[in-house]
Amino acid sequence: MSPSDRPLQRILLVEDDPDIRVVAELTLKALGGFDLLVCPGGQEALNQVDAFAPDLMLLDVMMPGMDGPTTLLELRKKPSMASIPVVFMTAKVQPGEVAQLKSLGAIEVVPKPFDPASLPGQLREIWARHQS
Amino acid sequence: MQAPNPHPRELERLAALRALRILDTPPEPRFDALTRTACRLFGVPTALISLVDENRQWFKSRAGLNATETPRDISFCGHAILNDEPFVIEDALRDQRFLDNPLVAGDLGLRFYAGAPLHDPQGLPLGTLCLIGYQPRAFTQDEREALIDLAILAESELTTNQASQSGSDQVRLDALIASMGEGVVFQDGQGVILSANAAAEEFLGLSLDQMQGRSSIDPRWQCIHEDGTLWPGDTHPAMEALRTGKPCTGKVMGVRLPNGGLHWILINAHPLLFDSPTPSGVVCSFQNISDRKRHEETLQSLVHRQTQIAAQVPGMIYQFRLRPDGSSSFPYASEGIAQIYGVSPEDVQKDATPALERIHSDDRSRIQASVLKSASNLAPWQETYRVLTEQGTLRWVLGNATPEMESDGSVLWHGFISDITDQKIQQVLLEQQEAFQRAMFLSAPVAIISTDLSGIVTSINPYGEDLVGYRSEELVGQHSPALWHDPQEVVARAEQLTHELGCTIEPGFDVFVHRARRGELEQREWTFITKEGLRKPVLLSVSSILDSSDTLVGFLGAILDLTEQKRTEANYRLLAEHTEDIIAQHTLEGAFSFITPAAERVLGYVPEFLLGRFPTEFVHEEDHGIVRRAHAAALKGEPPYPFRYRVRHREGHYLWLESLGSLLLDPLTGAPSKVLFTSRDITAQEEAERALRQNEERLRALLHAMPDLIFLIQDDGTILEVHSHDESGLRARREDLVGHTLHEVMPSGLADDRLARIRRVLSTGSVETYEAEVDTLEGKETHETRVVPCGTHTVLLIARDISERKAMERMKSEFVSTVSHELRTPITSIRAALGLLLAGIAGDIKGQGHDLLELARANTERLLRLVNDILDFEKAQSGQLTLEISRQDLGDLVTQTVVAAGPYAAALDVSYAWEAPKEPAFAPVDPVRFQQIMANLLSNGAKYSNSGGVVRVRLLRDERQWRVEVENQGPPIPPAFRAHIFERFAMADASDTRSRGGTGLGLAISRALVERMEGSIGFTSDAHQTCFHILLPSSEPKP
Repeated sequence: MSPSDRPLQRILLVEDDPDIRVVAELTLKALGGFDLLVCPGGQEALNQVDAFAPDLMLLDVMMPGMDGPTTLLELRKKPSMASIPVVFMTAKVQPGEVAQLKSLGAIEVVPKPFDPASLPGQLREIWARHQS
Repeated sequence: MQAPNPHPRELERLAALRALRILDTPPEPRFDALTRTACRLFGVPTALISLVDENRQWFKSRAGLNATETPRDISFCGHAILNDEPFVIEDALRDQRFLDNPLVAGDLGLRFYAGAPLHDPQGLPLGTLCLIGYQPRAFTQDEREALIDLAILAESELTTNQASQSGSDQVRLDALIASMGEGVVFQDGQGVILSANAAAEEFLGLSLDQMQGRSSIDPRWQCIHEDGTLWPGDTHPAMEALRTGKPCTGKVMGVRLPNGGLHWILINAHPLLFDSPTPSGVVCSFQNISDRKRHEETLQSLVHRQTQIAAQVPGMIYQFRLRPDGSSSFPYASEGIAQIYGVSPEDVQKDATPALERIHSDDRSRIQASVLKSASNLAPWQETYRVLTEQGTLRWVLGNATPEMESDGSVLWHGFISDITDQKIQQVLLEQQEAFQRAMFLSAPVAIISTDLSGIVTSINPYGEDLVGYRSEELVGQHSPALWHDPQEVVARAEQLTHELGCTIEPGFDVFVHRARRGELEQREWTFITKEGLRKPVLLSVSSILDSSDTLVGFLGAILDLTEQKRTEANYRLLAEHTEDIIAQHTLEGAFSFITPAAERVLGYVPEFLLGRFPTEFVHEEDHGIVRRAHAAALKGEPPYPFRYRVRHREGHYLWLESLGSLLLDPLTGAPSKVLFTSRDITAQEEAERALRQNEERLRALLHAMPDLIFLIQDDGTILEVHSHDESGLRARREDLVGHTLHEVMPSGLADDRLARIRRVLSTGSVETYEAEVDTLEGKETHETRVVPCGTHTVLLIARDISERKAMERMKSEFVSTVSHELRTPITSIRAALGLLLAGIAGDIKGQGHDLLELARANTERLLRLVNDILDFEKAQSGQLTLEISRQDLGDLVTQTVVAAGPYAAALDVSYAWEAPKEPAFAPVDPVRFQQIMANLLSNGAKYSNSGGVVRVRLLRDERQWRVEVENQGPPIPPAFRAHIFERFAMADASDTRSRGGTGLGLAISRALVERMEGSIGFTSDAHQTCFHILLPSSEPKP
């Protein structure tokens, strides 16, 4: 991967809870200014990810149907998505769990609840770290 | 050639010829005159009187011929006897019958033959008078007649010969027989006596007249055998000879005489055959052997008597002959040879070898040499030597013999050999006994001193020398008791004896030996004074010394040094008087014969009361058997063994005694004399042991009832005991565990871990607990195991199956985890929504609206903290809390936390006073969790401070630990609450929770976290201030 100064712009958010989808969309679009596609489950995300071509994916961990880690594994099977950066967002933030999620190939884990004021900045930092 | 035919009456002719008894008799002049005359008369070279026998012609007279006979089958005479007229062959070569006759064709060259037969009176031709020429010639009728005349003369001569010779022979024979010393009796074919000579008349005591006509089977004869049995007439030798036709000789016969006397005769009987198979008579000849018989009998009785005598003598009488060729024999040996050599006299009569072989191989050459020497110098022989019996045992024998030289160069010994085994054994025993006594004398641990009758010392053994300190040379010849006895003792004993015996005993030697003189053993304790002047207690036994004739020749003193014994006795007495052990002697029947004073101290009975009584009188009825068995065992001399029983104290209660019994032997006779029991009061011990046993039983019941598995394990890992109410919780069957090491029953990694824990527990003395998944006989279980020290080298491993509890915990934990996740999801959207509003996403909200939003957000934060705390606490409780321990500078971490908490404190109008130490304070901690603890303490400090107060934060070095303190001024912690301050939801006042905004879990979580970091947490609180502290182990600073 060549270093690039391209800022984070397109985010695909997968979140099953509709209320969190609302506040997250507001936070990332209105406060963060990102291009955002929000999917309610893993399968929908897999269906749309190629069309949307996100810079980064924000995955909830615990979801009915296809959960976060499974979605990640399926995503990685797509050649186009083999190296897309993925950030998990979870209410389970024990150190062991964080390590396990990272070992699946996530570049970072963001705890829930998130602070809408700081979440966009947090993601940009993660993106920048990843880019470097 | 034609052989002559036999005569028609050949058998009769031959019988008649033989009856003449002329065949093979010497030449006689009267026949020779005839043949000579014939030669002259007829002018022939040869004339013969030829007698034709069965297979030959034998010449009674032969003129002009050397041969005495020729075969009959080539004879001319054989032909001649077949005719009554002369048989004439004028030229044999011209006669077909004879031309090839060897007499004709051979060297003899016979050509002419003329033979006239010679007849006996019965007319049977016996032979011829024949003429032989070697030239052919004619033979005239005159010549024939002349030859017949000559033949008549010859016939007459032959017959005359028979008559005259038999007549003269008979006369001579009669004379001979009559003059013989032997008895001769002629008997006819029936055994009837025809004649007898004078000797026979004398021997038989009968005149010839009396005998004639009497047969051998006549019952008047009284004949006996040598053994005295009757000799029947039909077996008389004469009758035997008649019956068998053979001589019957060498018979010894006793003949009873008419006068009653007995003659012994040696009788021979010869049958008279006269060319007939049936005897025509018998001649008996006999010698009178009565005298010889008498001599023999005398000799036999002598021999018999000698044999009898020899048989009575313990040994053998013998003759031994050594021949020049080296062979030897026992011509005579008495029956005793069987005892000496194990052979019979007959065995060695011809050859002595069977006897000589019995001589012990070690002695054989010596005996041989001495026999040869005796043979060479004819000196008497005497030797002692050994003979091997048939049974393989040895006998000692003594041989004596006198040799004599015999005419043939043999040497004959007459001798006697006696069995001296018993003497020899006695001698050997005596020698052994002497050697033994000598050894005893020299090495016995007893002093032995002998004196003569007057008390002069004759010997002292080495032990005696050591005892008295004098050398043998210094003592022998000295007078006893001068040197080593205490004079006062001697005087005292003399007085005592004088008193006892009623006669004066001088204080001298007599004091010691007066009893020995009477054949008694005098035994008494004395004091000896050694050469160095030491006084030694001794036991002196004096006995008399008798010679072989029982004459008193001296005295023997045996002295035992009693020094050691006395010392032991003194010690023993001291011991017996002072020990708490009761020492009692019992008679063999069991009665007390001696008992130490301890009996009174222990049992309340004075010794005098117990003497003569039996222990069973005081022993608890149920224990009588135990005591009796012990007494019996002691009597049998069995090794002592401790036994316990109850004995009634004088005051009625029972005491437990433990005793050991042993048998005492009489020191002199060695016979059992007493039974000794030592007894000890073990009531206290017994009661304690009983209590212990009860406890043990109770404990065992308890262990058995407990659901836990309990292992008693040694520090080397050996499983000593396993307790479990059933086997299901065990890894293996009980018998596969007990006695085995941990390494044998579990994987080595686990065993190492367990062993490390066991050793740690044993070294620290503290209890350690761990949980483990265990493969049991029933499947997987979770065990919580406590390792508890139990003694210095063993621990108890108490394992409890907490599988169910663990399952519950897991469920609870999952529940909590799920609930907290489910709680966070709405909190996430509420918090984000409030954040978005406050961030002005819906336009600026000011005034009361903004305040309400802030209120909502603060409570959202609080709700989140509560959820987080509950989650942490549950994780800490279930052991799921994972720490990431690393080496951290505590100063840095505290600084960060103080800074982070600053706004919160400021909101409460409280400030933190903190100054980080200059040196880094390294400790192994999880930085996130440490900050969580600090945040909790700092917020608490702020919450419970008075408004405007200062919370002081300090980091101090405390030995090898770091001490972090957070101190605030404020109301004290209520004393009733202090003990529960680290429990969950513990807040002094329920209303407190809301007013102070705490979850009530903070300190509980903090303690759990601190302990996980191997630290501790505590507090002090007084009226004005409260100070919480954390102690954490320090890491050494980096070098």
